Amino acid sequence: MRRPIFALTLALAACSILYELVLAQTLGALLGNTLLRYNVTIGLYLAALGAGALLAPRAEGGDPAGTLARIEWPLALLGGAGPMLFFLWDAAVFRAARAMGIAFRGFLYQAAIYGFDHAVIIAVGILSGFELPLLMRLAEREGPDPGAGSAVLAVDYAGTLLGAVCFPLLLLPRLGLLGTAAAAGLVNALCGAYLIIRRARGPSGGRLALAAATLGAACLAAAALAYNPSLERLASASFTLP
Amino acid sequence: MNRSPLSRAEILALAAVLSFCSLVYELDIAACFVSITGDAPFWESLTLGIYLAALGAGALACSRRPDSDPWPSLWRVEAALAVAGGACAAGVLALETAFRIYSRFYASGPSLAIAVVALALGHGFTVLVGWLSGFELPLLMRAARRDDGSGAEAASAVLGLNYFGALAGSLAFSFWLLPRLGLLGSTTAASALNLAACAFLLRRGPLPASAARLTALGAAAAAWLALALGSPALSGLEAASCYAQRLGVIEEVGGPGNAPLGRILRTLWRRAHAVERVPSRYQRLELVNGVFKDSPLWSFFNHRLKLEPGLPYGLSLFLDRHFQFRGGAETVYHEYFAHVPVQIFSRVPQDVLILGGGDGLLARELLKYDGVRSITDVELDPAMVELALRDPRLRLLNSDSFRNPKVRVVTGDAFFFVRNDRATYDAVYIDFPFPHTYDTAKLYTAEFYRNVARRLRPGGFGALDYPMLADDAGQDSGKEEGLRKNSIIVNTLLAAGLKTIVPFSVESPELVAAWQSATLEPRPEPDIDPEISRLLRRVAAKRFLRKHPGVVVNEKEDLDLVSNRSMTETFLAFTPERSQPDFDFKDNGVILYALTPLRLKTLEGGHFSFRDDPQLVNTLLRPTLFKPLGLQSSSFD
Repeated sequence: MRRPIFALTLALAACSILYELVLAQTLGALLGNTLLRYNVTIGLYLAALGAGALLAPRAEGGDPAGTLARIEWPLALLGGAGPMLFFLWDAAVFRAARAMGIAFRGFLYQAAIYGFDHAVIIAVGILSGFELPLLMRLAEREGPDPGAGSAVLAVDYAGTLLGAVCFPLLLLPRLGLLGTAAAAGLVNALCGAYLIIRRARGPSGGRLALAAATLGAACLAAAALAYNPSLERLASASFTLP
Repeated sequence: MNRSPLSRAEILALAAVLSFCSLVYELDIAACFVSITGDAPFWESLTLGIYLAALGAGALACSRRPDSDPWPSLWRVEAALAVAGGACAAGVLALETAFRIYSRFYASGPSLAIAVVALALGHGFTVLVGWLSGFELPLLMRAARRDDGSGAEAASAVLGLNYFGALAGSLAFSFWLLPRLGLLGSTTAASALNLAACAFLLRRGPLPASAARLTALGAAAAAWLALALGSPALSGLEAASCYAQRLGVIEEVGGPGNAPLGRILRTLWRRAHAVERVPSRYQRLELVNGVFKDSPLWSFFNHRLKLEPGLPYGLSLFLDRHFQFRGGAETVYHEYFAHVPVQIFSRVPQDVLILGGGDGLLARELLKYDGVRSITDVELDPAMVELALRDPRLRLLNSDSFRNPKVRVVTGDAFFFVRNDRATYDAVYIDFPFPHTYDTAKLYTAEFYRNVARRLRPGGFGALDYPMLADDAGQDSGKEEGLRKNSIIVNTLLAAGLKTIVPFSVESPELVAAWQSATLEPRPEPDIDPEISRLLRRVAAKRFLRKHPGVVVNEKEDLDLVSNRSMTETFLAFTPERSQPDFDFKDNGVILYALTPLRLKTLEGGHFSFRDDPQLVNTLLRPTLFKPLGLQSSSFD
C-alpha cells in the first residue's frame, strides 16, 4: 500500500535536486566561475526547501494529494524549461542592453540577469520544498505505522543522492543541460498525473483543469526531449548571434 | 542540578550558527575535491548527495530515542563536529598528499585504483560531518518544544532559522571565507564557532558543566589549535608533493623506492619554501623557483640561453597545479606559437588580440614586429597581470612587454569579451590553460570560436594551443584518446565556421621533461626485459639525433630526455576563409632564437589525424571535451 508513495518520493526528490544542479551548471555556463555558482545555488536550494517546508502546512488544506498534484505541473514547467529560459533571458537582456547602450558590467544589466536567474532557482526550490511535508502527510494517512514519516524522509534523501550521482555521470553527458531538465520535468509531470488518477479528492471541476495542465506539461517535456538537438542549437545560437 | 533553559532567541541563534558551520564544512570538502580534480559538476553534486544522505541517516538515528534530553546529545555532537569539521579539509588534503607521495616515491606512477580509494576515504569525512550534522536539527527542535511552551510553532521557527543559517553559510563561504581564508582556514573558522557553541552551552547552563565535559572541551580545543597551527605546514607539504619532481626532491632522496618516509617528508618540507603561492581569487597561482640545468641539447633548441644568460630560466608557473611554462623552455614554445602563423599566412598583423596570455610572453614575441600597431591582451586574473607587470623575474622573461605602449591589457573574462567587444583584429591568439575544469572547457566551445571568428577582419588569422593532455601524449593506449581529442577540437572549429585549419607542432625537450613521470628513468615498457627496454630507448635517441644534426649529447640526463617518445606541443592556426598556407620562410627582420627556416619547412605536411563527426562538437550545453570524474592521470602528475 505504501510502496507507491516511496517510489513517488524517490522520483520527486531526484527531480528536485536535478533541477537545482542543472540550473547551477547553466549559471556556470552563462555567468562563469562554476564553483561559485554551485555553492550559491546549493545554499539557495536548502533555504528555499526550508521555506517550502514551513509554508506547506498552511497550503495543504486537508488534501495533501490534491495540493501535491497542484504543484507538480508548475514545477515540471519551470524546472524543465529553466535552462532554456536562462539562455533566452540572457540573449534578450544582452540585445536590449546593446540597443539601449547600457554597459555590460553595469549594475542594471547584472541585476536583470542575476535577479531573474536566482528568482527562478528560489521558486523551484520553494515548490520542491512543498513536496516532502506533503508526502510525509500522505504516508501517515495511508497506514497506521507511525514510522512512516521517517521512512519517507529516508527515501527522500536516497532520491537526492541518486539524482546527484546521475547528473554528472549519466544525464549531463548523454542528454546535455536542456535534455536533463526536460527529462526531470517529464518525470515530475508523470508523477503529478499519477497523483490525480489515484488520489485526488477535490471537486471534479477543478480536477479536469488540473489534469489538462499536467498532461500539457508532460507533452511539452516529452516534445522538448524529442527535439533536444534543435533546442540545443537554438540556445547556442541565441548566445552567439550579434 | 543548576540548569537554566535557553530562551527562544538563543535556541534560534544556535540553530542558525550550527547549520552555518555544517554547510561550510560540506562546501569546503567539495571545494577540496574540485581543487584536486578540476571537475566541479561531479564533485559538487556527489559531495552534496553524500552529505544529504548522511544528514538523513543522522536524523533517523536521532529519532530512535525521541524522549531523551536533547542537551547532552547536542553537546556531544557539537564537540565531535568541532573536531571532525576542523579536520575535514585537512584530512582530504592530507590524503591527497599521501597519494602523491606514494605515487611518486613508491609506485611507478599514479594508479587509478589507488586514486579512487583515496577519494573514497576522503568522502568518509563527508559522511561523518553529514551524519553528525543530521542530529542538530531534530535535537534543537526537541529542545524548542520542551523548554519553550509553544511547541509546534517554536519547532517551525527553528526549522526556518536552520535553513537560513545554511544559506548564510553558503554565501559567506563563497564570497568571504574561501577567497580570504582559503580551504583550510575556512574550516578552522567554522570549527572555532562550533567550539564556541560548546563553551556557550556549558556556561549558559542547560546542561551541567561536569569535569568530564570540561576535559572533553579542553581536548577539542587542543585539537583545534593543533589543526590551526599545522595548516601552513600541511599546505606547504601538499604544494611540495605536487611539484616534487620540479623541485628536485626525487633526485635528492635518491630516486623512487629507496628513501625512508621520514627523509622524503623532511626533504619536501625543506624544498617547500621554493613554492610561492600568489593570492588570487580565480585560481591557484604558484611560482616554483627551480634550478635550470643548461646543456648542449637545451642550447640547441633555444639560443636565447647562450645569448641572454642570467635570466631566471628555472622559474616555473603553475595554474591550479597545472604546468604553464618554465623560463628556459618557453622561448621555443612562444616563438612557434607567435611566428609560425605569421609565416604560413604570409602577413604581419597590425592589430592583435591575445586571449589569455597574462604572462606577457606571447606579447613579447609579437612586439618584435614593427608592423604590429597594437596588442590587446584579455586576461581574467588581475593577480597574473600584476605579476607580469611588477615581478622582476617575469619582467625579465617577458622583456617587460606589458609596459610597452603598444600593449593594452584588459582584465576580464575572454569568453564574454569576444561576445561583447565590437572591434575587429587582424590576428587572434588564444593562449589558455588546458581544459581541466568546466570553466576552462568553456573556452574551447563552438560558441566561443564562433565569437572569435567574428572578431577577425577579412584575411585575418587565429592560432590556438591545442589541448593535448598527458594521458594521451605518445602512449599507445592514448592513441584512441588522442584521435578523439583531435576530432573534438577540429569538429568544434569547423562547427564554428572556420574553414582552414593548419596544425603544426614543436618538438621540445621541455615537454619531455614536463610530462615525464616523476622518476629519473622514463616509464618502462610493460613486460619487456629491462635490457631490451634500454636498447629501445637508445634507438629512439639515435633517431632523434639524426633528425637534429649538430646536437651533441653528453650526459645521461640528455639521453633520458630525448629517448622518450614523441612529445610534441601542437598548435592549430585557422582562418574563417579558405586559404593556402605557405611554408616558405619569409624574412620579416625579426630575431628568432628557436624557429629556423629548416624547422619551418619540416612542419609542412605534419601528421594530424581526426574523424569527421558532428556529434563530437564541444558546446556550452554539451561539454564533450570535458571528461567526467576528473580522474585523468594528468590531474595527479
